[in-house]
Amino acid sequence: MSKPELLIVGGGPAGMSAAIEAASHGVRCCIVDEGRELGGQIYRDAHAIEREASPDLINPRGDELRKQLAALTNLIEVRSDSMIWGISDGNKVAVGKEASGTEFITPAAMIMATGAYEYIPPFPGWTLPGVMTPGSAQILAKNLNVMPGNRIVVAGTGPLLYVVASQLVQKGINVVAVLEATQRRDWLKVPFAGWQAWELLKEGFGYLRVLRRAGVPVYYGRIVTHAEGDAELSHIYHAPVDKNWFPDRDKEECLEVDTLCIGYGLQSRNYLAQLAGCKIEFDELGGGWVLQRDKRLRTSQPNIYAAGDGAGVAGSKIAELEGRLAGLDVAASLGHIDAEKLQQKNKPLQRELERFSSLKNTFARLTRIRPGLTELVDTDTIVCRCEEVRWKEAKEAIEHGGHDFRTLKVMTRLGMGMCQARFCWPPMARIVAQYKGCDISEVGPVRPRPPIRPVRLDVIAEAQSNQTQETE
Amino acid sequence: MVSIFIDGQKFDVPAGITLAGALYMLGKRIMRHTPRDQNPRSIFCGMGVCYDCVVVVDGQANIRACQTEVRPDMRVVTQRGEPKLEHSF
Repeated sequence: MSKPELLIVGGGPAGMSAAIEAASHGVRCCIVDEGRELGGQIYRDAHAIEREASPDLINPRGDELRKQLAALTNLIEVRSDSMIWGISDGNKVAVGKEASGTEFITPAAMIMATGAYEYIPPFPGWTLPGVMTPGSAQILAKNLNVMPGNRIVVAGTGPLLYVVASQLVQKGINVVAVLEATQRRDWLKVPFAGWQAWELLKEGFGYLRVLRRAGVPVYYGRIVTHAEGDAELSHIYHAPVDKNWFPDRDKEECLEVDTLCIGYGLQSRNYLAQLAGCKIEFDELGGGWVLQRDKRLRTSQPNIYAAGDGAGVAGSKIAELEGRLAGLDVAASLGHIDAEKLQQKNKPLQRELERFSSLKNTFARLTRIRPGLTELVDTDTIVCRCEEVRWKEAKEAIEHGGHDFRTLKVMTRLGMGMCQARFCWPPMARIVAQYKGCDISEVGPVRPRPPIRPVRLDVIAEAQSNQTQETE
Repeated sequence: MVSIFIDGQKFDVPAGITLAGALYMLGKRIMRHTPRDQNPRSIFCGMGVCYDCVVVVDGQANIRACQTEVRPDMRVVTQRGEPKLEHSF
């Protein structure tokens, strides 16, 4: 296939919709995705083993999107099992496989559809085998038919908890309890605020019904304060919280479990966009540091768009709509459709987007991270999983003047490991801000540098030498 | 089914499963011990972001078990501490 005009980063609902929309107007697209099949995290059910594992739990929307995309294969190139580790000169994108074969792509436009990952604040015991994200348990149980444990607690906040807990129940796993940090009275506002997005509410009630029928108790206004175990998880402790999620330690209770699925909502993945020079801002209701965008979903960089959870956490329905809007705008900006057609196509999508915005905003307010979570760390709690930096070490560095990412990294190695600060820094930035009594914008985000994925040096060297040969 | 070797021992696991899924299925929740404190770690994020489930695969260290599909005769070694230099290339 000839050189793509549009590079789409990520093959979830936003990326697939962007490709479908753009290609339907004649734009040559390339989707780069880390997974082995398209679908992203939410529609991870295309592989044969995944289809057989839980046929009843497959979301038909993923299949529909994959089908629409397959009908446009002459215009859409799909690079699965691939990652992008760098971008330079505005649009020179390094696409490669885990161990070899980097290629450079220079598209005319890009859509960042990089999705989101879970937010987990550090707490004592959170590195024990058996403590994992709800998404992780979902992949094991639903997609691979592997039981993550025999006695599971699902904890944190947000809609994903109920999706995963109900699916674990349907796979016959003993879910001991669901612990939701936000108070029940706040959750009761959801149906009123989100009635326009009736199909999502219906879906949500479906999950709760599964839990109720199975007798799984859902406790609101409780958080996990710490976890214990010798080599693996054996016990968790949980306590009621006030409206700022500060736990009442006198009322702590213990549960014997082998698995804890814990996650406090999602946060955007935007390192690549940042590397391309796209500006970010802190948005409490968008899941942390998010990309700045205009109404047309353009970032601060020319010809780079962002759609879906990677641009600010908003869910799969909004991701799809944003993907289509961005794909449409690219088609217009590259001259495949005229302004009139753009306007005509754009309007119904905008209206549909409006329909989901109230529910999205309500969820965002309900599940926003409260300050009580940042005070779970104990002296010896690991705050950087990769480099095994403990709170006492980080605290000492903060007291010696380390209060931004770079300084703390140099002083303690925090954020220097393989995840490249994706897990430690978002909660740590809150902890530092709270500890110093300043605003999180003063603490700041990570400033990612290439390679934004761990890549072997010989892979980079080989890519560079191929590049030089080409230019010569 | 596919035969793989984990720390020298042979196991049959379903074709198409990820290495993390296979290890979990076999009850091997501990996938590595950390370099600094030799603490046990397992699958955490499950989607390739956290790099907590890294193992040595066919002589290559720091491979994410959650992102790697099993292949026939794959040789897997659970990492103990810092991976040896010969596993880095």
